[in-house]
Amino acid sequence: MDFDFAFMFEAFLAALHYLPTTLLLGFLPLVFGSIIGLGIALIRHYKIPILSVLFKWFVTIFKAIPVVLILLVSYLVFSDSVDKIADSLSWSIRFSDLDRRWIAIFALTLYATSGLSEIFRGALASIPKGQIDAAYSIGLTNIQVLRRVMIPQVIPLALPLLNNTLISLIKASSLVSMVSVVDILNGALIEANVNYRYLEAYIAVSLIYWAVCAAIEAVTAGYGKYANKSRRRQFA
Amino acid sequence: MNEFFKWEYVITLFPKVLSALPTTLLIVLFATLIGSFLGLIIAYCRIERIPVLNQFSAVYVSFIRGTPILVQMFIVFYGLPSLLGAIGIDISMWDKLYFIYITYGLSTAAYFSEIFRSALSSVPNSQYEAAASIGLTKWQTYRRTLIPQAGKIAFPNLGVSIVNLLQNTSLAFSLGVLDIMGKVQTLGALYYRVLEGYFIAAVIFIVLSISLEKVFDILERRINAPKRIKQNNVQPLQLDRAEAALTVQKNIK
Repeated sequence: MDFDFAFMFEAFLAALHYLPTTLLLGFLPLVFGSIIGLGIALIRHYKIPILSVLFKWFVTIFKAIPVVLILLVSYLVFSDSVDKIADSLSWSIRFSDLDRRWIAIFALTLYATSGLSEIFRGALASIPKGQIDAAYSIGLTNIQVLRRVMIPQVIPLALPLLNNTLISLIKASSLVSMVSVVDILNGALIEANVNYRYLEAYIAVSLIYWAVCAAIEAVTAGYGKYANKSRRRQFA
Repeated sequence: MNEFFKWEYVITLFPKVLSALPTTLLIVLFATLIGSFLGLIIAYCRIERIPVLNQFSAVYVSFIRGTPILVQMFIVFYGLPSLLGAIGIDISMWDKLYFIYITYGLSTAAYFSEIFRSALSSVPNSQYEAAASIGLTKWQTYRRTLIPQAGKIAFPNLGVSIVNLLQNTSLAFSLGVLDIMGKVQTLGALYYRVLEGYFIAAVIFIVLSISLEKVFDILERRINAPKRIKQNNVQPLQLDRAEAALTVQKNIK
């Protein structure tokens, strides 16, 4: 068994060069997905007539589709329709000019949204009904109740759960090489294409993913400790 | 747009894609079996804090949870033959499907071990001590007190994990295995109709995940059933009493 540590280090450095892309593909879908997911959660929480049923189906369906499929289909649809739409609206955008990363971000957002909306819905449901009644009783409007009572409680509740989504997003971002985006995995593989030392490349990449995910877990654990501490201080 | 998606191709391709369903289900089955077995061992090592194995399994679980399954798959695919080749076992002629089983089994083991661990540690410590006090051996304690209680707690999480596993198996095609996604890709190359294939795959995955979820729901209800039957036996009596009370009230009025 021959294992080339020097090349592994080389691939590691080459992959590290693309770390910003992977982080971007992890964080941006999380942010977009949180915003849309919170919207969906609110719509479903207030049971707005047609939309809530629509989004219920949206969430069930997108929870059941593998992320690869979402990625491949959105790439296919984009590659086919962007040029046509641009033609019909006489824009000067071509598909080939488009940064492929945005397609990946779009697909990952779609993937993250369903899970995130469920997280927010759970958090919304966990707020006791009495608080909302109390807020209405002192004459707050709907939006004020949302802004001053519900959202401030939902976000700390949902924050520890978001780390799971972020980790799964970062892991899912390893698939973007299928839509020809160069992330850390693809970066290392390009390096390995020269001498076919794929094992070293994959191990180097796995170390980076591991480090990133361990860092996210550590930050979450730290936040949990901090939140507990501040809560305790309030009582003291 | 009319050339883009055609329903007649959906109808012609559907049986062909469906023929790859057993491969996907087999991956899920083997991964679940390997995962439960290894996961229990890992959970046992971590709960009993067996010196070296405890640290090793902690690192293992953290590694599996922190890396994409795609990367794990290729590490197993490239790494295992050269690792076993060093000992003198030649597996380079193995079918790729075996590597998939191993990868998904190893990955599932890590997730399952966390589920088992949290379920086992949620059983109160006093139960363990009580079992020890009446002279049960460790194996008996686990089999008769801890696992039956932990199983109930772990079951819903296992269901979620298996549904996730089902969706993750869609990556097996990148190794060249003909599961549902692999079949779609090859048919796409044959017929030049990729989108219809993806549509079929999506439908199959949606139906599979939702029906798996339903099956786990039903099983979960059945596991927790005995209590409910007892409650049902009590209810008619209470209703009778309520009616009697009502009639008494009416009579008074």
